[in-house]
Amino acid sequence: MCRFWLILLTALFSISAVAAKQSSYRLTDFYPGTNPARLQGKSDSVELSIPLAHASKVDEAILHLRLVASMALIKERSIVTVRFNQAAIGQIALDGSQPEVFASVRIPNSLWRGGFNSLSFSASQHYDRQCTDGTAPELWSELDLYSSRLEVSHQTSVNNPVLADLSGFLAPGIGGVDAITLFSHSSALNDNINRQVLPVVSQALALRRQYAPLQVRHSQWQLPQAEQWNESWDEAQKEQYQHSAFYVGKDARQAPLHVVVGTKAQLSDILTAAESDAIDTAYLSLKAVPAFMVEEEVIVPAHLRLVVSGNDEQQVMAAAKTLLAMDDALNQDDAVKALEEGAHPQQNEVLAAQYLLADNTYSFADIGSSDIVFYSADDHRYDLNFRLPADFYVPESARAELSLDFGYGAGMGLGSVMNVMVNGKLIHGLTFDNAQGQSYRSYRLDIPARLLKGGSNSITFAVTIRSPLPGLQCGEVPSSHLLFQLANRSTLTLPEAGQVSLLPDLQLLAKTGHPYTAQGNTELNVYLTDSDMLDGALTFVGKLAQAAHVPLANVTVHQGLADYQAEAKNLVFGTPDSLPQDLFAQWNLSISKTQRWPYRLINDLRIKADVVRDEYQVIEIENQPSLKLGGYLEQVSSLGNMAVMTAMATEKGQSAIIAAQNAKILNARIDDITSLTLWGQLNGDFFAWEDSKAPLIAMQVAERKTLGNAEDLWLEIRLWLSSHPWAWLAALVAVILLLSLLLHLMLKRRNAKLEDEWKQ
Amino acid sequence: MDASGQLLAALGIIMLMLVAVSLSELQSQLRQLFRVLVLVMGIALTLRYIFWRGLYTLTADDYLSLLCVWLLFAAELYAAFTHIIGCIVNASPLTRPLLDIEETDPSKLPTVDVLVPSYNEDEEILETTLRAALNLQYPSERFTVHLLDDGGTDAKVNQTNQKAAAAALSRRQSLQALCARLGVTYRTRPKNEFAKAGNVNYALGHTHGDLVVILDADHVPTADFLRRTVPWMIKDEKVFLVQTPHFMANPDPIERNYFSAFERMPSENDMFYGTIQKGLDYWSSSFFCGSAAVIRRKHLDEVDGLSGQSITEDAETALDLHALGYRSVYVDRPMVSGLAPETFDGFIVQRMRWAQGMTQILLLKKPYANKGLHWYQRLGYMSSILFWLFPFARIVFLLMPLAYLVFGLQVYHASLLEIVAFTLPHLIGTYMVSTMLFGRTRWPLVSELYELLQCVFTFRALVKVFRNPHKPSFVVTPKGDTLEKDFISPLSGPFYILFVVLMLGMVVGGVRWWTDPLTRDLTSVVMLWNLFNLVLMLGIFSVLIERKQVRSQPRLPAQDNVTMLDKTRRLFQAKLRDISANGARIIVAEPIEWQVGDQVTLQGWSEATQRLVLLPARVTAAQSGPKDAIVRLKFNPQTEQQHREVVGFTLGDSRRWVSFQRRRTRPMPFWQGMSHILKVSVVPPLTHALNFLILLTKKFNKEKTNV
Repeated sequence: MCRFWLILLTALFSISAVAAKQSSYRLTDFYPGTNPARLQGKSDSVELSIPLAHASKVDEAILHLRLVASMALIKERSIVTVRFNQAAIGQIALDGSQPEVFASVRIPNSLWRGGFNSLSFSASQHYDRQCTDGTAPELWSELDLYSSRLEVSHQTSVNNPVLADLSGFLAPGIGGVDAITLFSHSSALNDNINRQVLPVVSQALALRRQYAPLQVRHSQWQLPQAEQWNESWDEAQKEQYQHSAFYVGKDARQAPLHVVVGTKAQLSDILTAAESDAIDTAYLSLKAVPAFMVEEEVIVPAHLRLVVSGNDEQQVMAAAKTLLAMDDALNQDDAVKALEEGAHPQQNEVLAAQYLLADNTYSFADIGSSDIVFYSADDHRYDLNFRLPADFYVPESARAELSLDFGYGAGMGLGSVMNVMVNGKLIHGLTFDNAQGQSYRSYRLDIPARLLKGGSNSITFAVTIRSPLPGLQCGEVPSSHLLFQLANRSTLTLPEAGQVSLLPDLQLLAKTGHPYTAQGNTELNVYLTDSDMLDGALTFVGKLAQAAHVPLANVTVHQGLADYQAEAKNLVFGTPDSLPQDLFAQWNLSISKTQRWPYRLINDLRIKADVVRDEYQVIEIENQPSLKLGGYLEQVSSLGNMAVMTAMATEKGQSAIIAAQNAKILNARIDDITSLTLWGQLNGDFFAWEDSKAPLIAMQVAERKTLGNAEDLWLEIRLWLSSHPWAWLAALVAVILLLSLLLHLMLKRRNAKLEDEWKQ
Repeated sequence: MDASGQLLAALGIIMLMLVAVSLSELQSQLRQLFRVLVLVMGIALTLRYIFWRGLYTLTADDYLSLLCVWLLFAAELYAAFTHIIGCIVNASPLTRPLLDIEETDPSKLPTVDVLVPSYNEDEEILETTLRAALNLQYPSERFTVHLLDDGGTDAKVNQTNQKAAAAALSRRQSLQALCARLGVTYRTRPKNEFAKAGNVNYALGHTHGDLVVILDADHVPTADFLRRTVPWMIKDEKVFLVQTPHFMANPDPIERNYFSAFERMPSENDMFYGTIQKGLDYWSSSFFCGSAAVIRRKHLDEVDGLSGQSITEDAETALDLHALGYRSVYVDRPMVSGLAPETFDGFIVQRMRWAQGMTQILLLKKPYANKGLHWYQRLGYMSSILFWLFPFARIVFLLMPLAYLVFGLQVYHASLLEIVAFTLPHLIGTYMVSTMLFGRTRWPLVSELYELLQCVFTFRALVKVFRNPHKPSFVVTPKGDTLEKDFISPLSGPFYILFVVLMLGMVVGGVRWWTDPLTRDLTSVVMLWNLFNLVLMLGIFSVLIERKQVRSQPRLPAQDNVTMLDKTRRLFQAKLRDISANGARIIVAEPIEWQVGDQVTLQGWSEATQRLVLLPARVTAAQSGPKDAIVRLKFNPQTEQQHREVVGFTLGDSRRWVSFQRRRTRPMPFWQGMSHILKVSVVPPLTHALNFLILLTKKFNKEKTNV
């Protein structure tokens, strides 16, 4: 008996320690700048951010570094200090006689924490034992971030997991779950659980990944077949087996948890009676499924299971929406019952929380910024990030306004400045030239609203603080007293704006998820020509939610194209054989059995629009010139290993079609495109790729159309005119000619009348 | 449409305007259509600009900037509005045929009273005017000339100031003698009430002619004045006014001191009488300008004579009569020559009176709401009246660049692209329209110069009128002053201040341009604007140097062939080069031996008397060459008949004025006009600076001596 309990306890607690995993990362994965990272001057530093999922525990982490130092450096006075979360963990001597340095530094486990960890390299470099000219060009070293690696041994470590730990499991970073399997009781796409609930769950999990990709798989549980039973098992053991995670395959076990979605009745096959009885309304739980062991042999390992259930399909949907909306940190239990459905979560409210809305004033605190303080001489930078609705449209003359409360302390040296940039464009500079320091209140800056765009925006405060010149050779003024502060009561005021966008635009889709996140109750229809494509569809839908930072419109998955509505918002996943030709009737290309490719060489490749012909014109997309093409070639061929994504504007939004040769290739390509490297390269309205590194082709094939509500008739008229300038001019000239003719005739008539009078 | 699209559209419109302007200058049946096309396109650009300004650029960060933003916009609205109604008024200038009374039975001709109101003008000027009036080609029994002496009224003669009373009496007696000698009726009145209007109204009560001609004291009619004007009165009983142009025989202070181009450049009068009055005439809105006009007494009596509410009683009377449904006629032939003010302050006095008077009409008579006027007549009057509110706008345009350059106030919220897309086409369009309408009668930038000169003083005068519309009193414009030496006008002070302020703006603007690269675009545009003002200001310094005027009578070009008879009774063929009321310059076709002081006789055809006349003259200068000789003559009439013949010969021929006007009525390209202004603007500021230094030195020496 004791042995039984010992085994049970072992089985239960074993969930808390899933097998350790080894990961190796290049340091370039954590550095947004260019490689190598150069450390220039007497003193310089570079900082990397290493994310660690909250639910992960690091067993061992070693940095393998490669540096190249200048030959001018002297060993005794040239050191690179490695710090991890501000603690020094290693020092590397730089010796000019041996420029290339390899070093390994162990990162103590105790320094790791969930979230972002700071890894910094601070160089102190000298070419002489006496004083050194800090600006000497020979004072440099370079850290080869590509060759340098971080080897981490980590494991998921959560004791007695509760729903609050869910974000920790899915958090981006080392150890975070990057692939997860959703189980439902069938794989049929006409099942409402699969059609409507799984996309919600997929989004809920992807949003917890924030920006990191999440591969979503779907599978169904099947009750054990007769041949799976061991004849030596008794009924209790068989029941244990059925209530274990027997249905979780090897691939699914790579992640520390899986998800089951279904009604109480459906889940009764795999849940224990107690667990099943607990389901009396919309229900969520995160519990360990104990291992199934027979005589100390683990037949089915333990696994963590997230249950999304309810008495009926509506309650399952309510539970899924609860999962989507809830803040995990507030749920310290392992189970939650959602009692009241209500209006949840209305996209307007969610959007309002995520986006800044036009014609409003937000303090930096509202946007999530604390007071910004910079100390010491250095090049400091703060990015105020915020999101605007994807269809944010303003007239060209519109202005946003920054009202800043900031100040700098006394003693600033020459070259101390503050530059303000909006999305990389400089809008203002200020020199800190008051030796006594200065404080500003309501310092107003006008931002041309055309610098703002839908999706992510950034206002950068680049503050350079310099010590005053010492005036002595080898003298140095300490800079710890130098201070800059920007108060978070500073405000950003946005102008009035309409809701208008130009579609199709895959770049906008990648950055914002638009137009699938539009406000209102519009639906997103996802069509699969093969039910095996559900994995890819769920992964893609999750990625779109990540891009938008909010859930998508009501998503419904359809089997086949029988219900296809051409004018709605659609995502179509299919193979060339299964996509009908008439689906592409309005397009210049076709990815059906007979393909229509708008080859670039068929069409004029001139970038400058010196000549505009009927069949083509040049459209620029954010300084990336691309071509609208008119010519195409029809052919019959396979897509091979590549996938193709194309989009077309519809009355209500956009239809996007993703095609690959078969479901397996399509799912693999979806995993590629949702990766960090390739997703950001989405562009144009025709995109082909076969790996996660770079696209094969990105083009603009169709003419863009405006979509949206300009908020008022006047703005709408301006938008139409903006899209049709020559029509406007022609109409104006026609009106002028007509008016002139009319006036001329009237004047002439009066003239004749006057002449008649004096002839009498 | 975004700014780049707007720029494209505007460029397209400007290209079309260029083509249409060229086609409107061709002699074809469609030229009027192209003219209208240019006007419509120009108005479209202006309206587009105003809408854009009003809808998208009127924002400010602080109240002071907001005030400046609205002031600037108000000035632009004013400019745009006056430009647009100016386009409408001048869309189709009317050219009437030249009529003559010769086909009318003389017994059926209406009787005419020629009234010459006077208030202490020089007797010599009066004498010339009266003699010219007597030379009018009209049956002598059907017209009477009256001198209305307001300087010798009973009130003046009997005033308590003995010296002034004696002077008034002396003047009265002198003028009475003059009238008796000439055969002109002398009139005066008991009191000096309501200035010139009252003077004329009093005379109207004591005269009985069917028609009334009013001539200012210095306004000399040519002999054909009544011949050309009376037929319009006969043709239509509803005509209450036939107005003719005021031709100025001498340059105004600006023309003389600045341009020295009186003979080459069209004058301000040419623009008003040569273009605007013709436009007003098309819309039956040409109004009475106080002189050089024939008025029907019957209609004048209906409004109790000349109105006296404003100090521009002439325009006011015309408005009243237009409102009663009567018509006016404008005959575009210069048949009355007058004198422009000689000095800058005389010029300012005159302009202030006109500005105040027209503003009084706006405030007291409200022509925009006058139900008796047709809509086009209201536009016509508003066009003429609103022009005089230019000081408000001109001062704003002058000082606004400084608000930004010196004080950093954001007076104009627009990007450089937007300025190029909206503002520039509007300016170009306005300029093209103005050139088309007034190019022949107004050189580039001359209007801006005139406005700049007047704005400071006229602004103060207008403010007084707005405070109390009934307050301004009539001030007679000084005429016939002679300037014995060059001097700096005493009115220069405000312009020195403005110059310093504009220079400060340039310096501070330069510093701003250098130190603030982010706003460099806008600073550059505003500095260009300020530079434009500064260049005009430099030109003003030339005007403020009053130049010596050696001639007592203005001299105008002439081309007549004449015959000279010297004391030896020998005849010489000669050609007139110029002529004035009391002399001439001739080119004799052969060498001569005349000396200064020699008596000669000039024989020539007098259009006024329709016969050859013999005019005695004295040689005042002679320069003989191998082939010809240049001689200066001073006429020396001995008898009354000879006096009249001199006046008739020199000032009685309207063809001289027509020819003179045609010579100087020519278009000038913008850049040529600009370079002309720059050329004449360089030296005068140095003269001012030198004068200032001299004054300082004198003051310093005086103080030193006192110590």
